[in-house]
Amino acid sequence: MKLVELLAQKEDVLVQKWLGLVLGEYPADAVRFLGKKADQFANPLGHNYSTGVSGMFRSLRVGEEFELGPVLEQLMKVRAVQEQIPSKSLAFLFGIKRIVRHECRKEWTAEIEQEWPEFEARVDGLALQAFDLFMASRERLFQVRLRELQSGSYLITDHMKCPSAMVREEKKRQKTES
Amino acid sequence: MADTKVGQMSEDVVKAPSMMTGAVPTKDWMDVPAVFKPGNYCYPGKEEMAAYHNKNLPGLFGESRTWLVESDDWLLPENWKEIIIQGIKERLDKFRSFKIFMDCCVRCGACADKCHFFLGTGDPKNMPVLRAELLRSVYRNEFTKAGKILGRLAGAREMTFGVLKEWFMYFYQCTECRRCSVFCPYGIDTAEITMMAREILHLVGVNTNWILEPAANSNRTGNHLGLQPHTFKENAEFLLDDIEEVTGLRLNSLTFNRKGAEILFVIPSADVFADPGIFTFMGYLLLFDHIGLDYTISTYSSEGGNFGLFTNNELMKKLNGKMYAEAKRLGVKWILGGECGHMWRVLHQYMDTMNGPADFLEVPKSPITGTVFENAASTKMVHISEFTADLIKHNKLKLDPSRNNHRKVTFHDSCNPARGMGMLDEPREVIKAVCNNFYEMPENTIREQTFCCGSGTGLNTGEIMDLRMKGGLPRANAVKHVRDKFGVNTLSCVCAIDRATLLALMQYWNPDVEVCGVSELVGNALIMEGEKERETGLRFEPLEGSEG
Amino acid sequence: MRILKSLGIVLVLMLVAYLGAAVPGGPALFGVVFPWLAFLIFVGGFISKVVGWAKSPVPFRIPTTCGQANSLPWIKQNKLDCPSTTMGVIGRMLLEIFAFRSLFRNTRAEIHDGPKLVYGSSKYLWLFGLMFHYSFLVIVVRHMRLFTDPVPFFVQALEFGDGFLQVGAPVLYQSDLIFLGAVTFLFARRVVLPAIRYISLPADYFPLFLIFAIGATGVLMRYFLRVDVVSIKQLTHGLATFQPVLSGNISGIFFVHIFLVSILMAYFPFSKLMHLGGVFLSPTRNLANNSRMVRHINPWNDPSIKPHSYASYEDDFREFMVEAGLPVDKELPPKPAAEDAPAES
Repeated sequence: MKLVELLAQKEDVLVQKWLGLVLGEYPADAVRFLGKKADQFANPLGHNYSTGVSGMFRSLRVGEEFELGPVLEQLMKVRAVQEQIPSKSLAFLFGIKRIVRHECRKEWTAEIEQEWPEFEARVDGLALQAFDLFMASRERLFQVRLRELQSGSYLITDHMKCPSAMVREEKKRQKTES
Repeated sequence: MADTKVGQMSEDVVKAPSMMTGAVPTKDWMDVPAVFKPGNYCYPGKEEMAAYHNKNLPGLFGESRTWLVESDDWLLPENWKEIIIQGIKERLDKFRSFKIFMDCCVRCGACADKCHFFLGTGDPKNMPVLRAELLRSVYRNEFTKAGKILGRLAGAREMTFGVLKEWFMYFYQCTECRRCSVFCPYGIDTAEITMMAREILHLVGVNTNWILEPAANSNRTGNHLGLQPHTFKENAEFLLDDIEEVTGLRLNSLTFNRKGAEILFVIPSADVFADPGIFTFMGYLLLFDHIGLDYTISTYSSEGGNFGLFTNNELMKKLNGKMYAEAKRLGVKWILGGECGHMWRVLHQYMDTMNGPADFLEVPKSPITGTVFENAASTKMVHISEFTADLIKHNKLKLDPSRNNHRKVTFHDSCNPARGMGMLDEPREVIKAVCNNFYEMPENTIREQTFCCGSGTGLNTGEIMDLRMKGGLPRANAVKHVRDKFGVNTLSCVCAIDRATLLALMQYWNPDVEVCGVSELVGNALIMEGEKERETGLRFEPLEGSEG
Repeated sequence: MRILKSLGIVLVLMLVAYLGAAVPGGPALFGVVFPWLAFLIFVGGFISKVVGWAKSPVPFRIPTTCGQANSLPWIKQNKLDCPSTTMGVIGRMLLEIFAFRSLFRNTRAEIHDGPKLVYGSSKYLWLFGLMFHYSFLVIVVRHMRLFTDPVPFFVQALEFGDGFLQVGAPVLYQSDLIFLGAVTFLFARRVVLPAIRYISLPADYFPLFLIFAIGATGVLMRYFLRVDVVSIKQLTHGLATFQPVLSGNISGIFFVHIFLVSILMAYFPFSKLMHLGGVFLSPTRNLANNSRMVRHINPWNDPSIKPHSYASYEDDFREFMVEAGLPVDKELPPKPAAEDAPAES
């Protein structure tokens, strides 16, 4: 059997394990909830994770045929606001190598072993793509924050910088000088 | 069984799996400490802010001092525990809601997955039931026989610094949106519990600056931005220039602090200053000019929003008192309120009780349609959406909804008007009259089940941007759904905090969706007498068919 | 741990009653003194708890509005989920108390990818919660037979209805089955759902075990062990009429049953079971949403809290206001004043 076929055959279990790896970082009782409740509106975090993980797996399996961009972007947006350092946020991506090897150990053949480096390369490629999107999300987050600062509501509450307060200070000074 | 393997594997991949707020799954929640790190807490109140409030309302804001959240010494008063226990006792005697909510939760868990903060963070202490237990456990320890005798077996625990830290973390990860209360079989309202907890935290000087400072500003300058009267006026008049550019009309109906006007119009001050609230403000002005309303805006009472609501009921009352005081001074007949969420929670459920009776005002009556607003007979304040919906129903507005054709609109029910007021259909009536493309988000995310923007109750501050993005995920997710399905590009709402925070939320999660107030859409659609042909909307965006 | 502790306590209580009833004087203690005492604690505790709640005022009118409010005449109000009149509130409370309206809300159809319709555990919670409470009520009312003579017609009618399947001898009551099934479900739910297990306290498991044990001993007595009903009725009727008669034919299991019931009654007022009373008083449910129509009075409203006055506001900013053309109540002094602007906060 070729690796592609094996991956197709075991897709469900592999995706579940991979998802479990991501959710494993949440407190135990949150995990079941996030993993189980399927309603995308009642459980958006879990929904985003399962869509993201199954999307990534599909793209590893079928390559270019699957349009991964938007799915991966959404997943990385979620990862980017989890208050973790980037390495921790992205480590799970490489976990799929281990998962595949472990889950498919019985079916492992020489043929598959030969195909394996290419799969690994794909995972690495995916990880790099994800890293770009992760950083873009962080960047966007800071942009959002910057825009909020620039929009002035912060500055204006700070007495030192409030334009009207400065004008007033100025007038006061003029008055005392004259 | 699968879980353990996965657990091992995740340990292989990263040595120590990071728990979001330091939670370790195997431990009882009482044993999981709250850990503060940059990005998960709001900055504490500045010393002078606490001092200012303490001067006005002695004893309610603790000792003013400079303290650090991440430090293990919050410089609390010596007897801080006593103050807290006494604070709980006082409030049990003053609020039946608090007393009952402390006693009758059965931990059925119906609320657990209803909180946007739980859904977005996965942190179990963000389940409303557990959030309340943080306080309930101390209540049991001090005020119930079972708790005193059985201790932890009865779910009781002593008040410690660790508990205080938990309170500060989780009662500032609640936006008092009341969504859990809709699903609770006993109507237990976490908003009420959070309010009590925050009041108590303020007693020992545990506070956040983003709430204290706007509240101080509101008190002194009249609005939370600290805009002084002339600046406020200038900003508003600057928007008249913009209106002129869009419509070719110079409106001269806008006045400030004018005695003898029929109606006092109170808005959230962000509407005269912050994008995109300013477009909503332009919408108000066009509407009032269109119908020839005799109104005035006060610079003294220029903040509809009430940051006091996020501290304690005393400060809420003090800030709110300005509205009636100003209405009386100006001699208006009644008060009209702009689009703001928690402002309306206060106006609808607290104002009359705290600062009424408003016997110097008349029962609101629309001068255009003659409709008497019986539902506001005592408070004498009408919501702009009620007012506008009435005008539209009576065909008093000349509208061209096609001017909003470039917008595919959905409507976000703001928590407070939805669950603290029951105003669900009025804004929809308005939107449907002024837009041709209106799409609802999924049923369990709108109306009384609406999801919070994730940044209400003074959490709309920059230092917790990560947290805000997580808390707002359920809302953003529902918007994404209608964006993907119907091409929705505009998220409308009737709340100033929403206009500011949904903007950030959309910029992160759904960058091509803009945020607007309902009145902006009205302003776009209004056919003003003598106007030039409009080529752009109020924010200078080209209209459909006219390339800008 | 929390589960085992609670279970252990219930088992110990059962043992205590079983052994206690066997020693001389035991039957009187477990069959008469404890039930009387427990009943007193129940009634006294319940009343004092409710009075305690009622003593605290409701300072603000804070209903949770779960539907369209009363507004313009042509906007359809949701009169049950957002009532504005007393009748509406009564309707809302009836729905809440008798149909668990809020829990039911959980069951609204949800769109899933698929698309398919999935019923969450919450719907089960509503259903089993309802089954549990109603079967409990039926069983309590049925037990009135033991305390009354002659047995009131509604008790007889209920018994007939409850056993309408006419299965077995003695006739099987459906409520018994439903009751035990529902308690089991409520317990299983607490153990199986991780989120619920996480939030559950011993105080959540204990009443479940206690109630289950009461149900189980009752079922055993009725269907399997065939206890001496006549002597039991003699005793229970005597309890109600203050002339208890203890005959020697009452078996130990009856004392276990009645002791657990006594524990339940005595425990009730100090526990979460008081939600029975609390639900009636909950301010987010039992108030009309007419806050802007009718002024609600707060007994401790502090009139001394005044807003920052307009006069001092104008004093702060008069100069700028005049300059900006804003009307002022007090004109500027004719000569430029020498003193400074008022102090900033």
